[in-house]
Amino acid sequence: MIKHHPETKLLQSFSAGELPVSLSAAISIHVEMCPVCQQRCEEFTEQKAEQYFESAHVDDLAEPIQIDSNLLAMIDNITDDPTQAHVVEPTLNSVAVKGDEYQLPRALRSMSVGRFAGIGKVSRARIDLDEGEIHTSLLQIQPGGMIPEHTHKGFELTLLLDGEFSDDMGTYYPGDFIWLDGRHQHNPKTEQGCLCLTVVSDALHFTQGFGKLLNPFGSLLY
Amino acid sequence: MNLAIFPLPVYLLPGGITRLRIFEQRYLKMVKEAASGDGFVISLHREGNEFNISDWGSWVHIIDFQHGDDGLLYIDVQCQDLVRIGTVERDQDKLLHGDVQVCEHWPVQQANDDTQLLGEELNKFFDANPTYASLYPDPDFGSPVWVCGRWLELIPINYEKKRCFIHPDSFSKAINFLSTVIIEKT
Amino acid sequence: MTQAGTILLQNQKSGLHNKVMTNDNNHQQLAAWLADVANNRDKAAFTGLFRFFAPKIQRIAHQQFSNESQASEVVQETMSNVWRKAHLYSPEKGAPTTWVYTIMRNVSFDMLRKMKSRKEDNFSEDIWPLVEADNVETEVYPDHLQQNQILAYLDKLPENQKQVVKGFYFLEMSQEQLARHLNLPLGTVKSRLRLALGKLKQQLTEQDMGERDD
Repeated sequence: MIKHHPETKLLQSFSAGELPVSLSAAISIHVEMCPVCQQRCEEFTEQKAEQYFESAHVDDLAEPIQIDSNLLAMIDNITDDPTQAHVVEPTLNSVAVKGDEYQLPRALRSMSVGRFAGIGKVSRARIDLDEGEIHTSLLQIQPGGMIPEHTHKGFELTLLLDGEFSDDMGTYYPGDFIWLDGRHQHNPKTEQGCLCLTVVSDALHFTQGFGKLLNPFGSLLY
Repeated sequence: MNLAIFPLPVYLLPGGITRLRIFEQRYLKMVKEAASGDGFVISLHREGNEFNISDWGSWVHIIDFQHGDDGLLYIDVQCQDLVRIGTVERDQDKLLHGDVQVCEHWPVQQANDDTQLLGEELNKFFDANPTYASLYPDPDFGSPVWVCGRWLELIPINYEKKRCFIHPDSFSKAINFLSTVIIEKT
Repeated sequence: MTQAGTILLQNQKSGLHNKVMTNDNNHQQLAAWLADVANNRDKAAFTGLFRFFAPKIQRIAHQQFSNESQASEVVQETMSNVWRKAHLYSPEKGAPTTWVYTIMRNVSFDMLRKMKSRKEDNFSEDIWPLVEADNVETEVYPDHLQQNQILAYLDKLPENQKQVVKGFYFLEMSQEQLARHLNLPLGTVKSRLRLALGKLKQQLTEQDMGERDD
């Protein structure tokens, strides 16, 4: 089934909340469909929590530490509210393009998706996230179409949401997370048509690799 | 027949094996009795009646035991038959005993494509889970009844739902159910 | 009635859970406080949680935002979520510290987004749903009955026995294990289970109305 996964560093940064919204949403969609990555993210999250809340230097319950009075005042403030958060099942969004209707994954449900526009078999709708050089879109390709190639100056992520496509490396299925940078060549075609989420960056500095990209809360991305 | 009853949330069909760790005095006593006699009954804890146990149970025999590194007693038990539980009493050690009657379970079944696929999937599960597989020195992946029994024990649905598979005529329902979950089939 | 002496074959859950279950004494206390907040809106319990988490969150947030007032906002938001959402925490899913961490991470994520793009869109809950879909589904599909029962037993056991029993898991697979085994998304496995249960229910009502003596 799913054969293409985000690499470890991406999963780690995702779990720590360090990636921009576009990539976080894409990984979230993959993780929801992929038990393996789901498990790994749980582990990374747990490690992070341990590091923050339970490492050796962290104070133990047994030794209450001094908290400043500003913080303590917060307790009254917070507990004044008697209500409990109400849980509602999230409603999902759908998009229609060329007569096909797709239900969008949870991670995209609150995002504003623009109108589909396209040439030939390829239609694209921008997802407006206002992330500067990072552009996020939905791409729908009709049966028999080719997926347009990008210049790959920066990175290009394609997450297959529905349908299939294939290139000389093989066939891709929903949930496959395909990360390309400048080194790759590919000519993906789809026989039955597909819907993808793409996250593309033209920014040159990304070619320097992940190092900076993955700095915790690094300012590069925003 | 009167047997000791061990209330546990364990669903076991005939042929099923599970490992129990025993450390409470009354259950050690039960094990002692069981080892030299007729086994005991595992019955699902269920709120409602006087002793909070279900009206049916799995009659098990001890097939192996060992002392763990923790000094506790581990026993492997295998279900022989399902039983209906009648009158229950509690003895001075707080151990429950009940009058039980053996119930028929599924008759022998012909293998077909579905049962074969379920057998293969179970075989894979055994390969991937050596601890679990180690309980079964002699797995019978070719037997539809054996394969379905193990799958129903493993499958994560609640006990009330699993309960309907204890009836002798429920095999086709079981196959239907498992095929829907395990094999892509709608 | 106390059900001691249980045990079930340990299964192949990740070592992670083992660690969570056995290691930290703090976890029990924190989980108990969360339960008190959830069930009794207990301010003293919340104060316990606050004293444990708030200073740590403050310190972490300060490193990330380099700004005292934003750090305080993270503390305020996170702890206020803990107060309002304590009933959504379930010990079966992991340590209380992990749960609070995910809340803090979400709060920080949304806050950072607000700072950088001036948008108040709060995507974090869609990206990392605190309440997973199965929480919503529990009414339809209470598959943790067994686990809940065990946990209920555990509550009644003396402390030393609790420790012993807690190291063990259940014969039954978890939904996650089944998903991993079948190499399917968890969602697919859940919907298959639902579908199968639906069919079963139909069969039962068609064939067995009134026949069952339970």
